[in-house]
Amino acid sequence: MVRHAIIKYGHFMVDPDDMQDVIRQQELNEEEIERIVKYRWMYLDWMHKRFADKVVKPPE
Amino acid sequence: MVELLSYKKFYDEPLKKDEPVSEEITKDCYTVFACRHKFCREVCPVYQELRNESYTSYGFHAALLSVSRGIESLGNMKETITYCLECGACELRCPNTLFGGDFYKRRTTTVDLVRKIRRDLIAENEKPNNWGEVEKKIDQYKKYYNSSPEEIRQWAKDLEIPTTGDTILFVDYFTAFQETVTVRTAAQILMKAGVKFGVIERPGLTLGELYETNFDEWLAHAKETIEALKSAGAKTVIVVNPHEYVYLTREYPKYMGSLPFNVIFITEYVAKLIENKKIKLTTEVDIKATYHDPCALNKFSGIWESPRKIIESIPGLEYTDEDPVSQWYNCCGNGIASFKELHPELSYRIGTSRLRKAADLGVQYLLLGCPHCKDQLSEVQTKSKINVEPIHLLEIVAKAMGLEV
Amino acid sequence: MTSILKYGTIDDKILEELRAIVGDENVFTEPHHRAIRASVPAPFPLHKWSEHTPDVVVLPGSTQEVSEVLKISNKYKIPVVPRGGATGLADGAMPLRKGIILDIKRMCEILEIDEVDRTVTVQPGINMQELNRVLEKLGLWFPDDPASYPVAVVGGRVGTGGWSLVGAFGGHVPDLVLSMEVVLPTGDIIRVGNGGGRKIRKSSVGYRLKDLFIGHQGTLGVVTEITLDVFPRPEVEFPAFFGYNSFEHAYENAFKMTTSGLRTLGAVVIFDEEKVEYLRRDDEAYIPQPKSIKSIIATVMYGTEAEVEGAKKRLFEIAEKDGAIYLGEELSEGDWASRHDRYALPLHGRRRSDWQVVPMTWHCEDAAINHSQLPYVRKRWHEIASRYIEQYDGVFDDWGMFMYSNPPFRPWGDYLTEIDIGINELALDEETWEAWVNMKREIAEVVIEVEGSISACHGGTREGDVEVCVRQELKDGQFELMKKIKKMLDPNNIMNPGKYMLDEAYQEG
Ligand SMILES: Cc1cc2nc3c(=O)[nH]c(=O)nc-3n(C[C@H](O)[C@H](O)[C@H](O)COP(=O)(O)OP(=O)(O)OC[C@H]3O[C@@H](n4cnc5c(N)ncnc54)[C@H](O)[C@@H]3O)c2cc1C
Repeated sequence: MVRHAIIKYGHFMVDPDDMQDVIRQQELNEEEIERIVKYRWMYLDWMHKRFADKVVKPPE
Repeated sequence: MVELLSYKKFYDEPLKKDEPVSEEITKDCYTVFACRHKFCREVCPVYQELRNESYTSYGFHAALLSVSRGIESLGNMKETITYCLECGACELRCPNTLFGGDFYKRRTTTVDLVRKIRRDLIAENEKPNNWGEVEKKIDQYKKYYNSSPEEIRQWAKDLEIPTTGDTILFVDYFTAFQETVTVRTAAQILMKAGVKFGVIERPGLTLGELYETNFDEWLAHAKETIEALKSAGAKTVIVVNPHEYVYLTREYPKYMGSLPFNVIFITEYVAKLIENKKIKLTTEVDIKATYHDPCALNKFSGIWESPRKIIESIPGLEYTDEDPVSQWYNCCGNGIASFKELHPELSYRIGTSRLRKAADLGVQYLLLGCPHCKDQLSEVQTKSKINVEPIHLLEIVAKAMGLEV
Repeated sequence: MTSILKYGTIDDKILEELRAIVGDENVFTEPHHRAIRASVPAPFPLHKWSEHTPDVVVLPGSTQEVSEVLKISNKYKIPVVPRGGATGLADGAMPLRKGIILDIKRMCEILEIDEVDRTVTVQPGINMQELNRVLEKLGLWFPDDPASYPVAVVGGRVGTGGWSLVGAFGGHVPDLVLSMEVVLPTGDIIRVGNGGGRKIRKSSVGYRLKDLFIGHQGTLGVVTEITLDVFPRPEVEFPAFFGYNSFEHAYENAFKMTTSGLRTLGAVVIFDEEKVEYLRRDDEAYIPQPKSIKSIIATVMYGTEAEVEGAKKRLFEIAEKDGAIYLGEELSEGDWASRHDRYALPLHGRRRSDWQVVPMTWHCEDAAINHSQLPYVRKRWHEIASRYIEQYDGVFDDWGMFMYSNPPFRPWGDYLTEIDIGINELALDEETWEAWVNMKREIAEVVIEVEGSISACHGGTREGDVEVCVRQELKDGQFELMKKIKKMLDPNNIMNPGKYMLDEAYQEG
């Protein structure tokens, strides 16, 4: 049995039904969720810069 | 308005010394223990000084898990749990937040947990060393709160600011009585830009120390503050102190729901005024400077762009940036609540590390966005003589506007 | 067999002596400080936590202090377990006989950067991210890049003989250590290197003793200073991820990539079908991928712009000729940058019967397997995992497999082969723990069957693995020799006792 992600606020999210029995979701509003996503991308950009001066693009 | 809500209601249930840890708290701690990547550790400014992993997010969660398993008793955590600045770096860097918090709608909330444990321990009469200093501070603030309206507005006595208005500049007791330069500067900048604003007569106490010791009293004060702002007619509340900004945008909404006015941080407001040409920066400020991201803005509120925008628009200023992600690792050493009273030496060490980092960039000035950072780093600078001067970025804005503050 | 050794107990007098060496503020006896340092990220028997809790935690600040602590331990016969970043996945830093945890993270200075002879000398408690943040300002790079890059420390990297994600380009820990200062179990301080050289990369003088002190899991001493090779910081990075319609399809293409002769290729990583399914559980990069993408190869190149510009075209030709689909810049760049974080969140865990989210920790198998044997090992490992999951649903979960190019400075021939298993430690008891150990044993035995090595990077010290390692993998005289060496260097068996079953060196009967 595999359930798939739902889309909420334009992002993929767990189906809330999957977090009922063992561990539950907390209160987290849309702005806080957006903030996490934004921070993640910032962090990933930062990580690239730690390893080389630049990331090259794929061939045409 | 940007309210950022992250709330685990089950933290409200107090931990008691001789009672088992609830299943929900146990699972919560386990979710951090189970990660064990320990990225939280490396980003922690306390860990960077002491290199003791007990004093990290992983350490706190694992320690409480050991309490839940009967290996440790809660009371023994009373010193350990004081070794947290509440800067928020760990809970942000935690993969449970950064890589899964949005998907699962569940994230790591170390600062809330630390506050909770501290509060619950005090309720059980388990007080850490130096606790007297914290009590003294709370008493001091209660005195501020009970002062006359004239004393509370002493910082603005020649400025003629009304006590009502659509727009209210929120002035807490720290900035009204101690680090007064920052709010004074803010007020003068706003006046020169033609903004009509008021300052309420007597806010409640917002004090972090109270929040993590006596929740009910703190909440009563919070309600009073909201009422005062409402009855002053506030539609927009401009905040100068990042700690207060966090209380207003993250903490109050947890317990009181959405606030009936818009809360905006001063740098966001000023950056707009500059953009709209309401503020004209005409005087050259020939200095070399870098900027320190206050934890409450950078790690809690997503505010790092507006201070940089402001700095970059100052004529003559030569700016060297340290990016906001690198600054997750930084803190001035003051912390959000009782850290400095409990660990003055450690606080000083963290502060000197921060100043040294700035000095390594070859700048003369470290620009700040937070009056607590300013208070702390000025003290550290005087004592350590590290050759970098901490200054609030609003003071630089005022200079560039040609204001005498 | 019975042990001929008896350990002393840590009394107030010994505590006083320890405090005199490292200072009061660096000795901890309260239970939580000790409990925190009982486990590392390998699945931990939470139901037996106290058995692994050390008696005291000591944070030394210098080589001299380490030496003094070891002298005391040797005198009173107290076990000592070095603890670095505590990210080791083979239980290396988990105490088996209690005693002292020697937490070396306070020793974190960079002692020297030599820009001419291209070395850096560090204390063992610094991590690679901290080190590179300093080196990058000088255009230098220490290329050891484990997924634990921001947290594992150099001492622990040496203690485990670690493996780097970009090892095909920059080598692995054993290739990057030029010389070291080591405190032996008796407290004596020695220096080992390539011959007697401190910053020399190749020598034929003497025995290769340096290698003895890499990967010994803290059983032979404590490394207190390390001189490392440093590289020029790469001009460019080029991550590229490709999709395939089956594991077999990816497997065949991986052979062509790894044998292409491209020197800038830093890694070739195969994600098998179970791994891709697993990533689709919650990963924003993988959820939207078309269903036809069942397996993935991740590659990365490092080097000068001139080299990588040419090499990337060749790589794309190899991929496209086999019908691989390039997965785009956003996925390739984002996923490569998240290589230290993304693959193991506790909330990845699922109970199969009803798909409830169950917080689980992560176990990562890391056998070295030849290319020819990958499909067989993959089939067997998933079969084994499924059997246990069926019996203990909600306790174990199969998180799929990665196969990473394994050799240093070249990508061909063998792979670090990883099956990731989720384990709900809160649910562990005697029965489930035994099931876990049995699962591990079965997994390890498959490795022996195909003449691989049980661990490419973590070490063979985990319960379940260790017997297979010692009795089967090292059976042709190697384990016998290890015991002799151990007893010679550590007469009282104080260094991390119990690991690698080396207690047997001290038993009679
Ligand atoms: C998320 C994650 C990803 C990982 N990815 C990788 C990877 O890609 N490649 C890889 O190789 N490993 C990986 N690992 C495993 C782990 O990071 C490595 O084994 C690492 O080398 C351990 O270093 P540490 O500092 O954490 O050591 P610890 O776990 O503290 O110790 C490891 C061993 O070394 C001994 N030791 C520690 N310090 C010393 C010292 N100064 N002298 C002598 N012995 C010492 C300890 O006693 C122990 O036996 C990963 C782990 C995690 C959690």
